[in-house]
Amino acid sequence: MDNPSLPNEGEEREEGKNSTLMEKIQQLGTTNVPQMSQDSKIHCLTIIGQIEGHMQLPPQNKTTKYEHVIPQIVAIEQNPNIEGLLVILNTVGGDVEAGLAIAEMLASLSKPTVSIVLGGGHSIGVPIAVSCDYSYIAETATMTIHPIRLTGLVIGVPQTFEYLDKMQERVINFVTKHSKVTEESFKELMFAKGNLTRDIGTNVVGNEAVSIGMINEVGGVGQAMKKLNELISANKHELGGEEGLLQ
Amino acid sequence: MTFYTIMPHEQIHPHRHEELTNYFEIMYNGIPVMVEHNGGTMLRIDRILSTDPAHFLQESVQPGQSIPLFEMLNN
Repeated sequence: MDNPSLPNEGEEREEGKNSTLMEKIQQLGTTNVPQMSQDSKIHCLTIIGQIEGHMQLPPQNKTTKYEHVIPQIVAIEQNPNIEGLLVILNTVGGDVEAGLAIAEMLASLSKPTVSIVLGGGHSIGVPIAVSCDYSYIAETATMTIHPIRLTGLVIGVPQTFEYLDKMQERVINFVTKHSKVTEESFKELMFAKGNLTRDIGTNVVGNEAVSIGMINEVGGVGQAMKKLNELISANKHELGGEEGLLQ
Repeated sequence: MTFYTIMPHEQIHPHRHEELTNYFEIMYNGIPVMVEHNGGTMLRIDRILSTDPAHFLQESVQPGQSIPLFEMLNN
């Protein structure tokens, strides 16, 4: 670095790091907090590849790990400087428990959240996409809705079927609760024949996801940021109003 | 353990010997990153694990950058 204005950059950084570290331990009881610089009031969470839960996936899988994402959401909730969260999805699905955990965490976050599905938000990515306050899908992005299965083989044992049916209900309930899609039409997409080669189910693209009520709007990062800023100022206004009442 | 994914099972769990990989999560300059260690004295940054968009613009933690292993000893 040959920037004359920062002669002792290394030293300053070292000092700054230690003091913020102490601050974090005192304030939040943890060191692993998304770091703040003055200009990022909005944080961005990317959900990519397989959503990894109870089992570590082989290294050739690109994964979004539960143990990374959950503490980050907690930190975002706790950090007073962070005002909103943008969630970017491009996922092929993954572990049901981990996916639903992330979705529930996002749904219960008190700060405004906006999601964008880019490329794909398949399978367990669907509940994560709808968990946010407002959701966008890129025009070319797709979401695959299909039944939960064990290995892709035919399910032969009634108990297994019932178990999977229950797991499936959790996903269906979450999606219908957090978006405008009805249980009926979601199940219809899930069990549609002739749409996917290997399986039953439906692949919905951009506009279609909006027209069935699953996603709020077609759009990209520009619209999503605009919406998030709107939600943030509405949220601030609301909080300000409450404080006013208290006084 | 139930997967809900469009990826076929055999593609997630291939029938081949798993390669040895050494990935670690560390804090580097206050930024949580995942690094790969292939022996030797350097670590290679694989990905940034932060949610702060500003971190992704910092040159020192761009994926692919190498950082000396001894720097980690001071952290």
